[in-house]
Amino acid sequence: MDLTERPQDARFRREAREWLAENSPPLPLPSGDSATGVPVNLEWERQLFDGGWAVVSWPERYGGRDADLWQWLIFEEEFYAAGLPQRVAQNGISLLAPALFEFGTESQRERYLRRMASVADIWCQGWSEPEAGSDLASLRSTAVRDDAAGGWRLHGQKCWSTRGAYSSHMFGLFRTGTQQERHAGLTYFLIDLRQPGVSVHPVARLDGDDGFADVFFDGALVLDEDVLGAVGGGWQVAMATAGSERSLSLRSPGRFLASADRLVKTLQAEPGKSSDPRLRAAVADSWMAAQAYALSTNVLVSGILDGAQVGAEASLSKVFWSELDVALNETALQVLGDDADLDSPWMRGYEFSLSGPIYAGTNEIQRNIIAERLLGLPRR
Amino acid sequence: MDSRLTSEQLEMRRALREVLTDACPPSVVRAQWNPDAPSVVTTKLWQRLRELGLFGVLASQEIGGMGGNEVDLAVLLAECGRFAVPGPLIETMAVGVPAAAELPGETVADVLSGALVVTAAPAGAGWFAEADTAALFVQVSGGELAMAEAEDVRVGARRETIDRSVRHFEVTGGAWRAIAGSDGERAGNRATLAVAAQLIGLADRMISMTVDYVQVRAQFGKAIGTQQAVKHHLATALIALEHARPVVYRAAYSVAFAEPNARRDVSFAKVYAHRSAALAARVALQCHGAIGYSWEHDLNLWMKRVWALAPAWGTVAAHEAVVAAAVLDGAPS
Ligand SMILES: Cc1cc2nc3c(=O)[nH]c(=O)nc-3n(C[C@H](O)[C@H](O)[C@H](O)COP(=O)(O)OP(=O)(O)OC[C@H]3O[C@@H](n4cnc5c(N)ncnc54)[C@H](O)[C@@H]3O)c2cc1C
Repeated sequence: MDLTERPQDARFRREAREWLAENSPPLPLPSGDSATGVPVNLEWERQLFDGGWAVVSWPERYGGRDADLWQWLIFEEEFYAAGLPQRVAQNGISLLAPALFEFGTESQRERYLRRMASVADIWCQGWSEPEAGSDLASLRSTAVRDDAAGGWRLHGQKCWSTRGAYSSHMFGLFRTGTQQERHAGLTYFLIDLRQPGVSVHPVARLDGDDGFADVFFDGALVLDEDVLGAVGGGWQVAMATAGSERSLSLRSPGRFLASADRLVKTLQAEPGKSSDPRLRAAVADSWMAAQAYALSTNVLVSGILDGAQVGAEASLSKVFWSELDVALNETALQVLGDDADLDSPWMRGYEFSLSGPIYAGTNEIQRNIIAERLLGLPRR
Repeated sequence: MDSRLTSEQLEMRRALREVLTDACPPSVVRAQWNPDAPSVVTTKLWQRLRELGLFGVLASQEIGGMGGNEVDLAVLLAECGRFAVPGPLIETMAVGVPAAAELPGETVADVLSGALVVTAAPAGAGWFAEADTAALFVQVSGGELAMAEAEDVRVGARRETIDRSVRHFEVTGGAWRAIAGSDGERAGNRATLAVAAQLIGLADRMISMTVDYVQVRAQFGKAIGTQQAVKHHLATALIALEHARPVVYRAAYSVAFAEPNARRDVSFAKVYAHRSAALAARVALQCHGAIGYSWEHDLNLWMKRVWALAPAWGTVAAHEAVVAAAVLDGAPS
């Protein structure tokens, strides 16, 4: 164990904090999941890119600054501590990009990474289907070979696609083999949504924003150069992304550390409540949970920097952060007391936190993975 | 930056595990439950641990110790927790030996050689572990440590704790004198850390013994470990443990390097380690069914150690309050 901060990290933190303080837009920004809010968020995210802070851990040629994971964690802490919201670019930069770095061709990286970071392209994830949620490998949307066009024709329906209504591109899984092949018959495609044969229908979420989309495919074309990984190898690529989605890449500790800090301040600002022992205990619990998540992430990151792969341990993280987020927001509503019924930022946070145990693989599925792959219990 | 244990620490843990596998099977733990059992400090187990140098983890090498820090202490005590090692580990390793090292003369050498038994308790507890065998008593409070010798105190009735391998005796009287230059706050932090470290070891072992059991026990024609309800119980226990362990080692690091938040971090460690161990105990019992509720089954020994450690060196509620005060009131920690 050596927890001393490297001098370059202290410098990096200072630089990030100063840049964010000088360039941060008026807060709070409108929702990045609503038609009116998206353009405002995109403008800010372009500014972030121009400042060189959009994707700090990426190579410089794609718009990053070659920072290592420790510095990425620091940036995330500073970003959320400044009160900035989740990013519209998120699904691209935190879910697709890791797969592009691992499985992409040189041409794919050149064509997509920089545009993704600068929000010139906006990516959504196309995995779920009406009949395929937790059992993703049963999905039925197909990709049919079109040799004349040099690619694949997509058919079927994707659903629950986050920000699909505002996206130019989708990374999706389609069946190129038979239904019986399950995992083995799937291929990962990089799809331009702005073409004939694609129709996108916004779907409102629990909070009323059109944050989801149903996306219908009827013969849309994907060229061979936009197959990510091997034909029939989509599951492997998708699961590599799932590891990122479940742990630090999608949900860095900084987000929860900042929420816990805000919660502490919310209680401190409530005269008469800040001495209520039940509220104090609940707020301290949220603070501890956020810290515990950060500390366990540090162990994970130490391993990754030493060459370890994040495998099923990502499932431990996923259950922990999603449950901590629910508890933290529930606590905030308790602190608000009489005003807990207002459509406040904390209520919005509470609503969104409730989706955490569902997306990125439900917590029931994560517990199955933990039991079978980490504890070694038999499948059946 | 590296949050993992060093290869030396992993090696040290491996060596201790090897000794304990041989010297501390459940039968040895259970033997200490016998009301007529001699104190553990007179047993072969204690002799082996002494030879290994375990008790001197925090003593410098010049005085015959291991020259380790609090992270090493936590590594070793977590391993002791896995084996439910009975006896005054906290009193000896976390408090007694460092206190003896502050005293002139041969005291610390005598403690390390086993010639002299030292025990310790928080000021005001009114009882000490191993008071009937101890020659040196150390009291821990926020200021300097206070000490007394056996002839200065009156040893009273045994305190019947839920873990019968634990030997507590009421202690009254005593001409307590301060150990000049000693740091009571640090000693208290070490003791609390020692509790937390044992708790994560206990949790770890209860999870693994249950994982073994549910693969052997069959109902409805298949191993109960194939059932999702059973899997989810165990997964939940593992999630808690894997998020408590880094908290404990972080606290150990804070104490080792005298960081400003050491007290808060140690309290946080006790709270999380306790919750994780209490959950592991419940899950383990539930997944064992009635056999786990029987006196004969060894799970018993681990569960009761967890319950006995819950109030040790500050109740969980007291440590929760320390964290809350540090976080909400900016109280010095
Ligand atoms: C906010 C949000 C954003 C999302 N964004 C996207 C996106 O961008 N792209 C995308 O493709 N999808 C997205 N999803 C969909 C998400 O991936 C699915 O909701 C998820 O995979 C679960 O599938 P389902 O909703 O069909 O539930 P189901 O699979 O029908 O599950 C319903 C319940 O049954 C339980 N269950 C099912 N199978 C098992 C089992 N084997 N063992 C135990 N319990 C089981 C589940 O845990 C759950 O509690 C999003 C969802 C949410 C809520």
